[in-house]
Amino acid sequence: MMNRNSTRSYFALLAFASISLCVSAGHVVAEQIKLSAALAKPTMLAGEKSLNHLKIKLTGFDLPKAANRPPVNIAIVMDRSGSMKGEKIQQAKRAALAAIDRLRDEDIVSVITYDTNVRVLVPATRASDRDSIRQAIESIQADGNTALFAGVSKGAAEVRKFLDDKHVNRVILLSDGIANVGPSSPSELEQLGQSLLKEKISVSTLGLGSGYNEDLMTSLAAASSGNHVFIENADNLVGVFNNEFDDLLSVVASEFEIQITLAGTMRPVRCLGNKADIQGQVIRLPLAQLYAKQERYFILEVEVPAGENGQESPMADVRVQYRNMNTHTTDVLASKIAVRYSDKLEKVEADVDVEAKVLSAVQIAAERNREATALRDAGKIEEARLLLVKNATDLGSIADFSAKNQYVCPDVELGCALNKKQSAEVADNAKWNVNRKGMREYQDQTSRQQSYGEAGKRGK
Amino acid sequence: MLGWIGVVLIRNEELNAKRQVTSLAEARLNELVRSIDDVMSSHHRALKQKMVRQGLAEQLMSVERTDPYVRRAMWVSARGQLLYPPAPTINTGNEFLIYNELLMMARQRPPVPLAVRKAIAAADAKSAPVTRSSPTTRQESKDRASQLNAQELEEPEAPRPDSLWHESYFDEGLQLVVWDVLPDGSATGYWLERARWIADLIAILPDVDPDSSNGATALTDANGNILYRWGAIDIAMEQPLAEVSLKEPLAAWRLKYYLQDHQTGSASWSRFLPWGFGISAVAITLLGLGAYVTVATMQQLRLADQRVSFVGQVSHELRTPLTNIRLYAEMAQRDLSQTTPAVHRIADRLEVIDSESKRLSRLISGVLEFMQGRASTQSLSWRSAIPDDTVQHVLNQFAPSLSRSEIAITTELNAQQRVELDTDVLEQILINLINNVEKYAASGKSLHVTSKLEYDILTIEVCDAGHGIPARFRNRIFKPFFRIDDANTAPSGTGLGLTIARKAALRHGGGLELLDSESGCRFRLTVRVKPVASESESNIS
Repeated sequence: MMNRNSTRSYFALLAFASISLCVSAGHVVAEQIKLSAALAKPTMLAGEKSLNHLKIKLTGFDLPKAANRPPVNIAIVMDRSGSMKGEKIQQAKRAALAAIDRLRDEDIVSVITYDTNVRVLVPATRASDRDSIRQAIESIQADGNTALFAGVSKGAAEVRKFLDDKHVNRVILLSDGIANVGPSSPSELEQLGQSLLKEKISVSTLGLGSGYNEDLMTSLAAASSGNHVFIENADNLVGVFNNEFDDLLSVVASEFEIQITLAGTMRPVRCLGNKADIQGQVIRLPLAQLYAKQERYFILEVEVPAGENGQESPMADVRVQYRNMNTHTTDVLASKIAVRYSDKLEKVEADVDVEAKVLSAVQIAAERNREATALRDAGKIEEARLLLVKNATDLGSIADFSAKNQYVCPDVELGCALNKKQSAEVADNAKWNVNRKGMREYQDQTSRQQSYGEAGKRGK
Repeated sequence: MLGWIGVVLIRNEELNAKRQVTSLAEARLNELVRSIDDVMSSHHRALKQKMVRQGLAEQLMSVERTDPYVRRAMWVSARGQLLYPPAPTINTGNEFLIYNELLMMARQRPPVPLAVRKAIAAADAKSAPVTRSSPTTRQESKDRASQLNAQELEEPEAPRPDSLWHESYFDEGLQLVVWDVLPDGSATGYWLERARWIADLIAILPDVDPDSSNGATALTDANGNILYRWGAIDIAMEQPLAEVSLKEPLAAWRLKYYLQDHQTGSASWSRFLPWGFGISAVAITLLGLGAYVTVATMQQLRLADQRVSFVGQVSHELRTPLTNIRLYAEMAQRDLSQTTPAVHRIADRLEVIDSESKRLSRLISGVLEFMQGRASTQSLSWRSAIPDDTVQHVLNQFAPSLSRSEIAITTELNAQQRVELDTDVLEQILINLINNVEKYAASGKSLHVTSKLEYDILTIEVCDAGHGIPARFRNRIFKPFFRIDDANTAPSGTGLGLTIARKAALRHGGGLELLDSESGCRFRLTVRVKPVASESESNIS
């Protein structure tokens, strides 16, 4: 997704080389996840307390060959309520059929449909029985209300039948409607997602058309570490479903435990774009899985106390534990971060870590975009517009900064363009429904560093 | 005579048949109740086994992070102090709100063993400053007694020692907690993830009904909202044929079995009963009577239940704004303590506090008014105002939330003349009506408000395009505690909104009624107003 910044020698001074420990013997040469941790401002101005941003980036290794991908265990949960009638249900069926074709015999699949009622159409079964699964999908017809919560509950129950750490476990929810039977609030769906994540089940939500409740679908996907995609045009569904499958079929690591322990004098402020578990000086970051060659970063905002010129203080210990899906071992990575102080502004600026600074700016813009949505919801249109304009301007200057440093990050230009467009359209009531979904998608995909838009595809 | 005996026989057989169908349905529901109870008991057992006794904070944190059933874990000292989790230092989402709830739950933990309580009291007495050396003077024993009392104040409130579960109301409703009391009198508790155990109940319930193509079954919560349903028929407005309660801790929840409407009802019963018989007109009448009695009894039972849940519901409704007020006050304080306080953010917080206080006082005055009954014919506070201004003011208040629910507001306001009326009363009624549109008729995506002034009668109509209310409920919706068993909504409420609104309208010399309408609901509010008392600015054309 992003090219890494070239050479920065002081880098090594501060972020000690990542130490990787292979827990089980016999896999010394096995592929490992890469961990890189860096501060946006490795050198800070002496004499004053200020904020700094810590970047923690993980990079997935390449899968040796396709035959080695871990088996998947998926539930396809499909909305077949009345509003799906016509082209939408046909596309949805086509997408599901295309997915079935890509599964291998040892994969496990179940198909659940819901309207007012829920129907377990294909209980969890080996994908080898393709013909009867295909038949079942072809028989689906649209009618009735939307019992979304129950659909996901049943889907998760099917995945649970074959739950183990060798599989990539996933519920794929395909819906165009708001939930209107049973629990229907974003927070209830979020809680369900949180609970499923603890069992290593993720829910990906694909929202079709502009009629669905984006808060509900994004909360569920975000809480369970799944993907969320907003598909305005049913024609693109097969492509999006294929992308979702590309991800699913290339998981190289899962069961992450990412823990950052800050030195006693540092104060954690927030984790940008992600719901982190912050207890005292210990911060735990959520991540369910990493795909082949995927780059995934977190930005932690930290308040750093004042220091003296020339002083160097330890700042944080980073520890990452994960399940290597290739070697089936539990691997551990670690890194230490320190901060230096200088009374020369030029020194501070010369030392800036380009990548950490740019990525922090990208995430800060997404947070502000969230605030803008909230302001617009509260009827404060002008304030929302100003915030979006500020975002576009800030990202514009960050784009100049990265160009000057030969650092390529498409998220900056894209984010700049989106914020500009959103600021121009935020006052338009007629477009607000569609625009709000666009904003939510931008926020969500920036938080999880997914590619933008339905046509976009994650760079591999 | 023979004819009479024949009739009695047939009648008895019909009643027997009906009773048998109902009891068959009940038996089936009871089977499901047992499997639900199995799921809940196994959750309870699993969590009891996960109870930890050492390295508590560490262990609890790990359970919280890994157990899909545990939303939060708690550890409370014998004196009632929350030892885990620590108070949140930052509020990225609703951490403060949740911490508040944990404090609330901690207060409802099981009682501390007597021996521990005595030991604590003794320790307190020892550490208290002893002013006289003479043993057990009257003064000293008095001190001791007062300390024991103080200790008792920190005791858990309303313990239910026989119950496995502890219940609490938060967020969407019933929350469950499992407690374990340690030998030192401290207690650990697990707050269950509500969405998760509901999802698990749904997972074990059937998805299709193999036995009946014209029946349906629904699982409903204490307010009658449907959480899950299966079966082929639409049950939104039906009366259930059979209804059973779940076991503790879900005793207020029900499983209901519905059979297609009464006309085809008898035909479908014969599906249950292979022994069909001819049905005489008399028998049908009596059958109808039987059904009526059953329905009436059931309704009375439900009413009683609703009254019980009303107390819980009202305290829940009152607590929500109060918690928000405390929360936002805390956040504002925190904002102020920062080096560069963001003024606009503090202003936002104060706005929330202000609007929540208003909501609270509306709720309280509503409940009080209802409790006082007719004592509340307090005098109106007449003031000069333009009715449309009040209507517009209320609509403006609701504008953000209505637009969030994608409800489009249209108006035809023709009450522009300045008159005398009690704007507070008018506002209160309108808030109730529009609130209902937002809660129950959001699916219609429209709200239409009209107003007109004819002589001394102000008429305001509030129309929506939601599911509407069937004619047979038209008067009952104004009765206290009445809530329609609606499949498509799960909002919380006291069941008093329309009762209070109608009373207020009557007080203002008018009325409130539900009119016929092709789709949705159309409420007409009338209010008697007075001409402005010798006001020169009144521009009556």
